[in-house]
Amino acid sequence: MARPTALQVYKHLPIKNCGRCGENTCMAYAIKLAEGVRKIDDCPPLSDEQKKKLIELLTPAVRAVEIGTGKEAIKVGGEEVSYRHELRFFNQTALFIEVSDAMTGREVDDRINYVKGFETERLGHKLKLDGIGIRCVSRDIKKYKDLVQKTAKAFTGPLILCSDDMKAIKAGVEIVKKRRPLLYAATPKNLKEALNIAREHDAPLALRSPDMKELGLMAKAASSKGIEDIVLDPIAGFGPHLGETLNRYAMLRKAAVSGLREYGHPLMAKTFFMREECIDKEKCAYDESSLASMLIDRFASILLMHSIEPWTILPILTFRDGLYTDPRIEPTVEPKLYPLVNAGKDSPVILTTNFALTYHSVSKDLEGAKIPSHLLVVDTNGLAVSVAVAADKLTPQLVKEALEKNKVAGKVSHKTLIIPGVAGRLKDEIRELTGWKVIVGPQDSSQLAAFLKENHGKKEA
Amino acid sequence: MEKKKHRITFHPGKKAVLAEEKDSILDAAASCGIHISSPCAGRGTCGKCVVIVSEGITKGVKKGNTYLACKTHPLSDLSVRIPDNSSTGKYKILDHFHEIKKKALSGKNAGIALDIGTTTVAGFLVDLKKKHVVGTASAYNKQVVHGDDVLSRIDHSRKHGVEKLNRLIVETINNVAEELLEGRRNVMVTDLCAAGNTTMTYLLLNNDPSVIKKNPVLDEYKIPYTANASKLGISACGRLQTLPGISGYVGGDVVGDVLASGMHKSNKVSMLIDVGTNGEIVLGNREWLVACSTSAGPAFEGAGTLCGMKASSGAIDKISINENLKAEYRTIDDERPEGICGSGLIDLVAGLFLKGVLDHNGLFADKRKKYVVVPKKESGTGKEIALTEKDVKSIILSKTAIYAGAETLAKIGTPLPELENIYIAGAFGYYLDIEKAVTIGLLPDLPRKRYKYIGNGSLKGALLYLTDAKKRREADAVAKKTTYYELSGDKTFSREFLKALYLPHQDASRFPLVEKKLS
Amino acid sequence: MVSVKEEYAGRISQVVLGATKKEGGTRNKRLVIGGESSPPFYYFEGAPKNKPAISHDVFDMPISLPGHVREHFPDDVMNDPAEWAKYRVKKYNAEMITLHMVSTDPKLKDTPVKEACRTIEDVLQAVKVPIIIGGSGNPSKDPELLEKAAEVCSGERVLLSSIDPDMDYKRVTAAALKHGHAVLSLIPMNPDEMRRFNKNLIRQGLRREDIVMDLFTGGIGYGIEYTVSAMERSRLAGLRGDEYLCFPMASATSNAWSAREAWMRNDAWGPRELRGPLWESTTAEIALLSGADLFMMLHPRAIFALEEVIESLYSFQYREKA
Repeated sequence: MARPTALQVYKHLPIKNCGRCGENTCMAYAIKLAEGVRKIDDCPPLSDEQKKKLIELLTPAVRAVEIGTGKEAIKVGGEEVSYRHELRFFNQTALFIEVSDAMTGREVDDRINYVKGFETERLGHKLKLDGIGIRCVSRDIKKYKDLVQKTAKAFTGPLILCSDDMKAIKAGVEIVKKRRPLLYAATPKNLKEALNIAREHDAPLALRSPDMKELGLMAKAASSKGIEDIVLDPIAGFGPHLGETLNRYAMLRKAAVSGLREYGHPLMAKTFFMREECIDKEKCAYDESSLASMLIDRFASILLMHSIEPWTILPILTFRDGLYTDPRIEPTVEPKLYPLVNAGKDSPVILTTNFALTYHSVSKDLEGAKIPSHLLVVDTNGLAVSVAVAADKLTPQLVKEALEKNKVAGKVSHKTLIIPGVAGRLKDEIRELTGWKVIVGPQDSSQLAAFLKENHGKKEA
Repeated sequence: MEKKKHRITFHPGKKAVLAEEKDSILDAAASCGIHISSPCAGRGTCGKCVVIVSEGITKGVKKGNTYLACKTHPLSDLSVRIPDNSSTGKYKILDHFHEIKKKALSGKNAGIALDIGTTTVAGFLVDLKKKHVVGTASAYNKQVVHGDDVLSRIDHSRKHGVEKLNRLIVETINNVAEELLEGRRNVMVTDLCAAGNTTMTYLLLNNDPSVIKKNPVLDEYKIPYTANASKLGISACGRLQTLPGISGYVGGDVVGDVLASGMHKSNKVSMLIDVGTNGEIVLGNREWLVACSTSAGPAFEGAGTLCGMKASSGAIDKISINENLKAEYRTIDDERPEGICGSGLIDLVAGLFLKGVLDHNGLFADKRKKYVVVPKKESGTGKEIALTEKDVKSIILSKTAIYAGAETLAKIGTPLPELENIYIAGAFGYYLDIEKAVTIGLLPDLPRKRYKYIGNGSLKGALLYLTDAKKRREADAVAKKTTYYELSGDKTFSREFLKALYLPHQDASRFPLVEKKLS
Repeated sequence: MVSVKEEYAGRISQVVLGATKKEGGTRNKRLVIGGESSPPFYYFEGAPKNKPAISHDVFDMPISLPGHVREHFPDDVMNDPAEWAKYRVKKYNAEMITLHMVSTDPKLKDTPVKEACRTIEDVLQAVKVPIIIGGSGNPSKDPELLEKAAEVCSGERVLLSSIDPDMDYKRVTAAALKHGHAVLSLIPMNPDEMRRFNKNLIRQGLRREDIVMDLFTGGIGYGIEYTVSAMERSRLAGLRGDEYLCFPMASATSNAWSAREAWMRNDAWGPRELRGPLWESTTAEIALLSGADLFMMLHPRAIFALEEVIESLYSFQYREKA
């Protein structure tokens, strides 16, 4: 069920225009409620019947589930569409790394520290992993409890308790019940017990089965017990199982979006398999990373992963970040002269294109290095520098026009333009056409800081 | 193989055109600038497009002794006479206010209803006893020298004080009043009613409009004000009322539009679009109303383009491009052309686009610098009247804002195809060719009969407010209950805006009928 | 679960690349791409039709490549495009070769078209797989180059890469029609413009079986999400009956290498020997899920990873449960 319109929400309001919600009219409130900016509780005159209808209307096609507590809690699900371009994807896939009671203490420590510490930056914000999944592999309840204890102490973020033995889950949740951990997982065999534990501790519960019908029945059973914070795991696989995997996740998302409420829950996947199956560790890590990225693309809201190699995690974090951006926002910036870091008359003028990613990347590098500079952004229809040069969209004529339109000559005391290294071959033509001195900068903007410190103020090379 | 062409001569006017057998008389007439009334858009169902074929052989649908122009095709050269009833353009305004002949007043007292537009001010002289209009006049808003749009005028008043702009609007009103009272002796204007956007209203009342910039929504915008006219400097004694507005950027002029349209009384949901500088749009019915301001720009009111002018004597208000790519036009009052008003500009861009002179980016396909509509020798100003790419860009920007605004409001819950009516208001001409407006992507591609052009709705609303107490109460209620929707910063609006910056739209599938015409 | 199935009114056209003796060419095998009637790997709505093809990059002059790419090809091989192509076919089992004629760029070597055509002939002789002829991207030179290349490759059914509205594309389409080739239309990230351009191409006389579209592939972190949305939108439109977006899609996945994460040495990021190919293969896999039918790739390990994924996806048989 796609998002309700303001009008659909409006029809369930008391229509008194009383103003108690803080808005001037009921329609204004309905618009904000439909967008998710206001809450149902903000309208005092709502009857219970109307509230019920509104909750039903406003619940997204894939319900949102919260794991963890406090500032580090994460929200997953809350999705409305199968295709990003139809609206957007809302809550990015939560990435959990596993620790198990079959690992050495050292290994566990490394993993916990890794989750806490690993980060990369992109377009001005930090990308990090989200939580830790604590697995019982040993079948030793005491061992498991020790691991849960240790992890919970060292790590304050969201947790998943993993075991096919409800006794272990029960023991684990006793320790971390205040942390609202995800309980993984209930199967048709232990469903009843799992539901009881989930309800007793108000913890979200994962339901696991390779059979779609069974998953639906389990979800319905949970719902009838008043448990709605559930996630579904249709069991992911790689290699020969990849097709089946992609099919299941697509079917489930489509079912949710079509309004089948029992399937309207976030999807989860475990991206690694029996340790014994892994002969070539490098390949397993490589494949796991590929599977993870593909599952992020195909509707997974939670991933439990094994590999902590930076080279496997980097693409996952980066892809996730991009996929969950709002596609309604254009990937270009306005082509004009951008003064950065209090640029003045003596500051260098640097050329780049209006592809948003390019602009942000270059401006971030300059701002990060605190270099006062003028960034001259030219309109290449949103193409990055190398592409624009190759496609002949970044031309000397375009540069000339940009210099004139932005009256750059009048804003700086010099007449030197630094062009991206990748556009180096345009140097002479730009110089001839514009009369400006042209310096060819580094190939990548990450080297700009060093380059400018060395070269600015020097004569043309 | 060359298809045989037949010469069709139309009377009155003696305009002739060459047509093939596949062309209907209706289409042939349109291609040489003759508009035969066709409310059913050529489907052959309304029976309004009757013509008399005095000479020649045709094959087609007869209605008595006449033919339906839309279903009749030439088999030889023809001589066709268009009866008076058929030649009225289907898109003329509902009531022929522009043809208001000067009438005498029944008494000594008169009222003036005003539309205080950002770019133009229009007025009715009203017989208060008989409650009808006895004269019309308009003038460019003198404040225009200090900025095209409301924001620049707010900035001006902040820097230089309100008095300057207040004086200019009062002067403009007085000029309009003077023109209205020309030739009338001993008439006292005792009642005035002004509909303007909130900034205009504030400036008229000598109130500081900078509050509007800081607070887009405030209760005080929804209040109708009354002031002593002469105290404000207006050459009248008596009171001046201003229509209540909806928000800082949607004012009493739009409330006037709503009043004039009657959309606030219907059960079905309709949309109202004011095609002017602010490009306000209202969506709703008797239960609920939502309004927004698209900041369209003054292109449709004749400003912002080299060849543009307001819709008055000498303005070209109708243009068609013939098969030699030359413009055929008519002017208001049949005076020598001095410029092109809004409706003419829409006709022009649509015509050039359909003929391939302009591409879908609004650029000249053959890289020419300009398109000459009227050469120097035919012009009333001694200068040629031409359209440049810059002009086309202004027009596209204006139409884009409005279209994107309509799509955005529709997302509130009533998809455009489900709308009962779309009311078009605006002071850009005496008619609007809906077909051409859709062609350029200003209006959505919907069944044409849903479009209702109400002319200067603000002025009509002001008239109603002035003369009818019941209507006054309705207007006050509308102002109070309408919800304002802020478009700036709205993601849907930004997205829709970027996609609409083309003729007619980046996504050709949204305009299937236009797609078809181009194939 | 059957109730969530959507029916699609349209179908993606099938494009043949390469001509064997039977068709008048000299290739050993021909490849068929496209033909889909359901979204990528939505098996419950329809089985995928033709396996996507992967074309290996070869350049007509030595270009600067990161060390961990270069190490997979002997130096002397990279100096000779015919040898390079041979090497890729022999060592890496390339089923298709993209010959990037970058040296013809007036701003690089400005190799005359005549000379460039000799290189193309050499490659045609050296390998018997279907070929993609890639211009330099220069809009003034490429029309002539692709036109002459079409002549040289007459009968071999190559893919002429690429055309767009800002060049004299009509020259290329005319040559394609004359010599029986397919064309690649490149319109970055804009399905609406792509649609408009493809409409023109059909008007020029190209058949639906002659067109492949490229909406541009940005690498992970460098625009992949725009690629996802542009490709998914186009594919869905084609499946829902849009006549001008119903063509197979190509992905120039080697663009992933412009990401610094792919080529840069950085210990905190792990070894680039693994990081680089993973960056390219992940980009490819995401493009695959978005509907790509043809891949143009660089690193052998990335290609191998993608081949494995394609193999497993095309061996799965979905059986609908009651």
